[in-house]
Amino acid sequence: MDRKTKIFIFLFLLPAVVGLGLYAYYFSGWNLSISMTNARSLIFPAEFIGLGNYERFLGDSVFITVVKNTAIFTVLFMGGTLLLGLLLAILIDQGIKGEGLYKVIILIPMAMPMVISGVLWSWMFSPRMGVINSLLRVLHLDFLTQPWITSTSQALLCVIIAYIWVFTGFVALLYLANIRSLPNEQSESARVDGASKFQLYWRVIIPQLRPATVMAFAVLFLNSLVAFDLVWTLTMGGPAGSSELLGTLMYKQTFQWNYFGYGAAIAQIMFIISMVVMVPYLYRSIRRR
Amino acid sequence: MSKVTLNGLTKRFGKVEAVKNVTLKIRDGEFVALLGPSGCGKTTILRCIAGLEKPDEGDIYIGDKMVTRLSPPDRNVSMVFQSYALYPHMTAFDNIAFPLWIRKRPRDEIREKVKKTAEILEISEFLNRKPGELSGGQCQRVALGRAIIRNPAVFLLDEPLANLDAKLRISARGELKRLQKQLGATMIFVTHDQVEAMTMAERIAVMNNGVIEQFGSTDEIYQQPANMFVSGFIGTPAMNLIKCSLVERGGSISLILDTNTLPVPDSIGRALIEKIKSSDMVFGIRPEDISIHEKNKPNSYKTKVYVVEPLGNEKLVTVEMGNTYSKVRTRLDFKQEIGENAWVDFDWNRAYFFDKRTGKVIMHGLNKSANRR
Ligand SMILES: Nc1ncnc2c1ncn2[C@@H]1O[C@H](COP(=O)(O)OP(=O)(O)OP(=O)(O)O)[C@@H](O)[C@H]1O
Ligand SMILES: [Mg+2]
Repeated sequence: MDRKTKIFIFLFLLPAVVGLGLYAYYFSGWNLSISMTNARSLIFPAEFIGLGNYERFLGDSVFITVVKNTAIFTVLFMGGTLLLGLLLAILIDQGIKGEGLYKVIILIPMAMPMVISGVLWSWMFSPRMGVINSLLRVLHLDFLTQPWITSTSQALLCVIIAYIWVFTGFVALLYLANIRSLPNEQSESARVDGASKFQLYWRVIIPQLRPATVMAFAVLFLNSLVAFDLVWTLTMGGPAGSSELLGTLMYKQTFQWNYFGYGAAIAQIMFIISMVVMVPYLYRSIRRR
Repeated sequence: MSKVTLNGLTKRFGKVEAVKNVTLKIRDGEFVALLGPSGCGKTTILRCIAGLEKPDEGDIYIGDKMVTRLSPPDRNVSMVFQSYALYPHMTAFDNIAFPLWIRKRPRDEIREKVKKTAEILEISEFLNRKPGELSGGQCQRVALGRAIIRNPAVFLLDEPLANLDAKLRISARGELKRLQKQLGATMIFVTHDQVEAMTMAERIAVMNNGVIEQFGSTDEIYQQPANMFVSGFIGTPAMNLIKCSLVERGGSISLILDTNTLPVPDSIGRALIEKIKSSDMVFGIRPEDISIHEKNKPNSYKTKVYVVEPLGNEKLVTVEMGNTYSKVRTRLDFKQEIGENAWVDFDWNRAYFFDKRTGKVIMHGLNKSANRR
């Protein structure tokens, strides 16, 4: 590349870098500074209290619940979405008719505003009027009806199912693109050599889906850390904190109870976790190529 | 090992008829080449035999068993793809072991067989490397290894040497031929390189436009081409094909090439006249069956040197006769340069005559000797 090209590239990248820099670094810094105050609004001056908010959070009774819920959420949501997405991709890869249509349909949940998905799923999960329980009653399977989002033991699961539903199509398309990018002759060769469909996918195709997995992992992980909208519309973190996640807790502390400093500290912790996991992860997966 | 029979095989892709009513009988343990220009349907035939393509008409037999409707795993064939289709995430060892691995053979047996296969192919040192860390030639041998590790009824090889560099390709030809003999396997390989087909195969099926123009031994294909297509495809350089017509004047028979008149030896002329329906035909003669002289000789024809290509141990001269150009192989000490005159005469016993319309061979000087054999 000659000098001129380099300068051009630099100039074209500049606005994006400046914008991103301002957004990512300036506001992150601002959030960090607020997190070390006892601010109860964004306007009135506040007192510097160092790491007080962080200490308070670690000692807070909801801390354990939130950490536990976030861990369960992350593992089940990511595992479920990756698995379902992969299965869906393999299903579509079988050369079904109307593939284009399916690709559009499975992307709809992702394209829909999360709040609307939340409302849809609250119709599904509502214990008395909800679609699922009504259907079970119609089928005379009343004994299978569940309290769903009103139960402390099932609320988090309902939230996870809704999140899986939103992201599965996206992950499926990532996997499908990856599968389709593999040379057709590899699967043909495997078939001639006697491999069954299962062996073909298990031995030949799935081991080569690393690029899509890396990509999906990054997107899903970040989304599970910042999960908020769907949780809020479905359960608001309840009942009794049983589906409380970092996102909902931060929102409540900041905007419902006006503990801006405390909320900022929770946001800061979310930021740190995502950096600790994502930076080495992205670095390694980019380096690998 | 098994024989392979194709019976009236036809394969269409939409409106394109890639393979048209092909019938081919390949013997048990035979090494056969499918030779033809790009797009003539070679790969399609191979894929039909492997079961990767469903024929529209016709049947395929492997051994005595009809396999037309069987799926690839049930046909017991091995295929080496042009791209090799190695699995990039597996080592060479695992690639070779794959067919046994999916058959759930015991580990010891797999290790034993991979070791033996690697020895045959001389790739024992590379077994721990992945395809990305192997050269083209090594990849090709790994792909061959994956094909020979089990005992299939037939081996199908799609341009197995096409991805190798020129030098490696020549040595690989010999190795592949030895390997085939060693295994005593029925092997069908696809190539568009006639030298490769001639040097390796026992019999060659010359294809064009989805049909087999001729199926025969290398000698037959070379010495008794069935038609103009085959004669124009085989040989380096291929046979000269010159449009001409036959005339009989005052008891002597001549060929008219453009404006030149060439008297033809009586025995050949008489035989020709008996066989032809129209006087228009195509005269074929190989570059090595034309002699070229710097000076006029009785019964030779004046031409102009168009281009001279020295090949190290001989020269390839293109001469201009009226509007046609012919290639001539000659000694290195041939002196004439571009634009100078040269005189040629033909070895009539090695001349071929083709029907201009159908392209079919009418007669060739070798007919007599072929009969005597
Ligand atoms: N999957 C396909 N869909 C449509 N047309 C095809 C398909 N496969 C092959 N063809 C067509 O069938 C004809 C024969 O193709 P084939 O691949 O058998 O040729 P080939 O002799 O192997 O050529 P090459 O030497 O270039 O590999 C070509 O005209 C090609 O365009
Ligand atoms: Mg081909």
